[in-house]
Amino acid sequence: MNTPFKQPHDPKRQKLIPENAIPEIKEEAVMAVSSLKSAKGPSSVVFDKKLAELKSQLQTALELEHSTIPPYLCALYSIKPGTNLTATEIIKSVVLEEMLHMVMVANLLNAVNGKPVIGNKETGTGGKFIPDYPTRLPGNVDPTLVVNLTYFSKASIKTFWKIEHPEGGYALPAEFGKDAKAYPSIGAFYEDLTKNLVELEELAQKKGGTIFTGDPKKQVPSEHYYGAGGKIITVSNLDEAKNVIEEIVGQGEGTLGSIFSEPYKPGDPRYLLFGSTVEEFAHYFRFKEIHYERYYAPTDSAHRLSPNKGLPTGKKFEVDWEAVCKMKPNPKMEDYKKDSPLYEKTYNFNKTYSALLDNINEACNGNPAALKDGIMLMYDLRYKAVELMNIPIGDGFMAGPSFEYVKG
Amino acid sequence: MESSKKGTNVFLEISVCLTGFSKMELLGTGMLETYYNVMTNKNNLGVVEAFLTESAKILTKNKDNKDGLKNEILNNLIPDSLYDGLAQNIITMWYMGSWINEIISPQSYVQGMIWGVADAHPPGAKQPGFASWSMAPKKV
Amino acid sequence: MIQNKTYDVVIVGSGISGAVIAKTLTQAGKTVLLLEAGLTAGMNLDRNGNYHNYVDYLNTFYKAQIKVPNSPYPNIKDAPSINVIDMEPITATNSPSTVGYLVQAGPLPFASDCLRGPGGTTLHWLGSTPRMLPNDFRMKSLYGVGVDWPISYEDLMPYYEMAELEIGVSGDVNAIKWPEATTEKQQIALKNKNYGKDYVFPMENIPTSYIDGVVTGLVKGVNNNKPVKVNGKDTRIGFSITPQGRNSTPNKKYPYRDVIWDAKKKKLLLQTDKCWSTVLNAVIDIPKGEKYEYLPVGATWDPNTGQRCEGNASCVPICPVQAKYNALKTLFKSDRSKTTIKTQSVASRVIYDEKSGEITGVEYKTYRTADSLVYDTDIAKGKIYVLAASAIENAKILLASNAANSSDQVGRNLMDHLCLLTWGLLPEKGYPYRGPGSTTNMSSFRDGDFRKEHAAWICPIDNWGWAWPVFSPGSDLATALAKNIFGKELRDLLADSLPKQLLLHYECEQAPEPSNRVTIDPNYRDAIGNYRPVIHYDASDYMKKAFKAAKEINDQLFEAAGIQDFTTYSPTMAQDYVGYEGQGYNFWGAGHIVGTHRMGKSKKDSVVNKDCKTWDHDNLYLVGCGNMPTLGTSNPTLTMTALTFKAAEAILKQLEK
Repeated sequence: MNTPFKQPHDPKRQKLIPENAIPEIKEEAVMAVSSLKSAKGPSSVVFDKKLAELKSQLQTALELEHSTIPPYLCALYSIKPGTNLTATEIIKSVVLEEMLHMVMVANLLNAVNGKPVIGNKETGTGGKFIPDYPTRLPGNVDPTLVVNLTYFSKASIKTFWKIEHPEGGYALPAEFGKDAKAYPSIGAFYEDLTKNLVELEELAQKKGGTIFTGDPKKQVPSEHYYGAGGKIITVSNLDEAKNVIEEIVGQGEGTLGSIFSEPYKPGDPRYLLFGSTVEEFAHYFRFKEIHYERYYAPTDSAHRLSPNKGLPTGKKFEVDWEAVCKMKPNPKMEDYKKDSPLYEKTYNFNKTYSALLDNINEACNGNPAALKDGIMLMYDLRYKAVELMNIPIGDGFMAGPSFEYVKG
Repeated sequence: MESSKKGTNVFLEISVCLTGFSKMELLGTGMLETYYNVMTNKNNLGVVEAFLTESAKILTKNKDNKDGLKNEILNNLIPDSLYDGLAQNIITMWYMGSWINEIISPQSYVQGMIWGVADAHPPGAKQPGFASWSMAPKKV
Repeated sequence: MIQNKTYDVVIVGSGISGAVIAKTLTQAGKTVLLLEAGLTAGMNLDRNGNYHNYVDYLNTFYKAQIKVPNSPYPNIKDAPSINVIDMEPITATNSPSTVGYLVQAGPLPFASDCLRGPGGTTLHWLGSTPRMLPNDFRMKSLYGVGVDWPISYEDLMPYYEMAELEIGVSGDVNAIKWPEATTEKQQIALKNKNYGKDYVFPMENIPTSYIDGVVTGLVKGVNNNKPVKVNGKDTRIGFSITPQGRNSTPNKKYPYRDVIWDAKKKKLLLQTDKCWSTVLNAVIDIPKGEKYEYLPVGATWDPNTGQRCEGNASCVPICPVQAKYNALKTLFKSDRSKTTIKTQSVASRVIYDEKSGEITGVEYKTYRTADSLVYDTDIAKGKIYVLAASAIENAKILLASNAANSSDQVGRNLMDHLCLLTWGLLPEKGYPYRGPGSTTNMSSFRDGDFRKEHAAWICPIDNWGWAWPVFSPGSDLATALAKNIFGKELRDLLADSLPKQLLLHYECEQAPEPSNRVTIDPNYRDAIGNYRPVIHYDASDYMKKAFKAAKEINDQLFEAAGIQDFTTYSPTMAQDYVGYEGQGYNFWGAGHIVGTHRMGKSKKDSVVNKDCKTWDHDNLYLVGCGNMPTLGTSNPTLTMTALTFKAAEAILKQLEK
């Protein structure tokens, strides 16, 4: 309990990228980079296009990390105060890590001299930053999954573990991925991202360059981002970039993709993830704990063909599924008459939420000290959401936060 | 059931007049049911019923007369000598989360309205975050 | 038998001094038995259990009608705590007052409390950590008052630095104003002399409260236009930003990682290239050139929680996120393989060999469950014994054992800061009830020639409105309701007045008086047969003169600054009420319980030597605030922690002889 965060070389840390997964370097791309310095030839155009695609993929990663936060927050805030202590702690720790991931992805995007856009994208041409709930995950990640803004329940917890599902659980039906690239899981999305990163950096280095040309001042350091979910990583090279992705995927899914595809080998230590010395384990398993109202025991295996079927068999803890404010799923401001008290209250929540996103945007675009205000907004957001969830709106439902962008 | 729902409604409406908070603000605490039950449990039921009946009467009669409403509440509900001091105890309940001198529950303390009135927050709860205290309270 | 195992050291109490001893000694390879009187639940080493127990504290605090310092924590019949709720004025008919755990013989009630339980009083301390001033150590030679310490400020400096790392102090050495400095040049010279040229605290200043800016702004106007007169002389009032043990932004220039025993040099040293690894349970060397940044120590259940103060405004009685230091943070860094903790185990006396004076055991009673009153008696054995049970409990145990008292000083010189509270309405909103209890203090009257005449004081700008003297904001609501004010008018009235509330408190340094003391009396015992402390307490003219002087300055200040005065003193306002030159004053306890087994140069007039070892017993050390010969105007925890590191070093030297 005294290690504040997992060390990068901690053997217990779960590996995302298999050692042998260094991508093949294509001839065409080498040519592209060989004319990098001249920045004129057609090959340079290819390289630039690939770099632009990488930046766009990182922006998608940003939106992907963000997209899970409102649903997790709804579940968290809907739990009645003083009840479900363990479930609250688990969800809280997950959502804090998601916020950390988002800012780390922004660091990564800044490191390759990109420009993170957080919050108001609607005025531009890039579509929306905040998904329109109910939604599919950004980036074509598991397109079979629909995510709602709703209260804490067995169903919502189940959705959450599907969001954090380790890859390889199933193959995507053929119709997905026809028009655009689709991924069966967040892990798969990041694996692809890593591949692109490694490939581009190798190309750049062959010519004595690097893709990590961003302004180091734009990195959000631990001085300004603290506490939430672990220590933030700043990025200035490929190793640090890989660390960021490892941290994200490691915290999320644990990416033992092999849990689901390899045959079960009794006693294989890789599947014993839950010992008392393990600082933290992946979100996927933490949600399972809530659902089954039990901790994982140190002897439990993560493998689904193990005697414990990959399920927790440790100490029981109490989950009171009824001690919940049942917010009406996926509320919108337009559900209420304009200028009605509930409209005002929902609008007010959204103002805080939008101010928070704008603040993070400012922090990730050269003014990391701005996060000081963002942290205050984050607290305020919770109090406003909880107030909404206390207001009955008929049919046994409560009002709730709608997470829509409004101009300040 | 039906009568208790009606009672809760009158309790909420009169609480708005007594405390100076809007319906949304009072509902936002999530304490309405709890407070209504505390009031009915801690008092002679006859007194509570008489208080609610009088409240309903005053509210209906002065629907469009703000000054009349204020005067009748001041004269017919507020004095400590009436209804065992119920009106003032209700105000204290919303502001402090306590029935007279006893905090009702941990949550009622946290939902005490007086802290927001002071542009603060209940000590130990609803914390506003690092460095918030070094600037004037923010209002969104 | 396992319970008769002999440990290197037996420690009584798991508050900050016990925790520092346990951590330092076990990390140096010694085995330790720690006896703690409080409940096992409070010592939960399991992450979830630890958190759930803390949530219980928090809910108890929420539910408490009067939120006094001990309100969140269990008060157990088998090991009762002092509670300020139990204090009453002492009259002819109720003497001694026995309503609480303390037996108050008077003439004035002693109105400060402490906590008997895992982590001790650091669970509810405010967290202010100013150092004592160099002159505070020489009260007798400079001002003819009390006694000199057997050590100087300079002797204590390295240990202050250790304490500031252990507690995790946020502050800025340049923002501490020295009372005797009248120019910027003197100010810098004193800073360099008293802290060292390059010294920084582990973390930067906690942001100062909004109300501090309002008050210091007003006082600046007073200083410039109509300075207060002290003995007829124009006097400008200066302020310091208070260093404090709560988490803030790490100072990038802070170099130290840990305090570690250097067996070769026989010294405790602050280390830049070594640290203790809780994972490996060993001291590890840091690879050369590895970048270092101080990492704030978070909550005991989750290191990511409490990385910064979150502005809960409830430092006393409980920090919900543990951004404020508490002793369990230190204790949990002990080498667990070498630490044995026995909870619900109340030490009742030390046993010693009459001839050699050597301590041979600590007798303790282990009760089964809270309030059960069923207990087993046992004896703990060690090579060295350390009492770390608080000033009052340490004295009580020694008196019950007839130990360490050849000087007749055990229990004597009980001291506290006597707080004169003043309150008023600011001309503009200062928005109290937010943030840490206090972040700025009036520091001009911490030292000066006047100390020959009356006590010095420090005066923090408080951040909790009028809560302390009159129980605001509840009392403000009650006052308005009594006038039949309701509805929007009520809301507006409170919204206008509460944010203007200002509270100051003049913490006056109590001088040592042999007659202010802890005694025991066989007629007064607790539920499991241990003695209850009997307290004899009064305020001397040296204190009353200080009340008068402080009040005169305060009145001028309020008047000139346009602060509407609401201060009233009366026999019913607070338990302690004294008259002086025709005026009545109330004072409130500060919870700074000090004295009772002071250190000194000679065994004739002190209980311990400068290493905190009793003169009478070669293997008995006393740690805690009881060692302090005088109090100064600083909150005592930091100084006490520094002394404890000094004691830990001496114990290690003795063990490795």
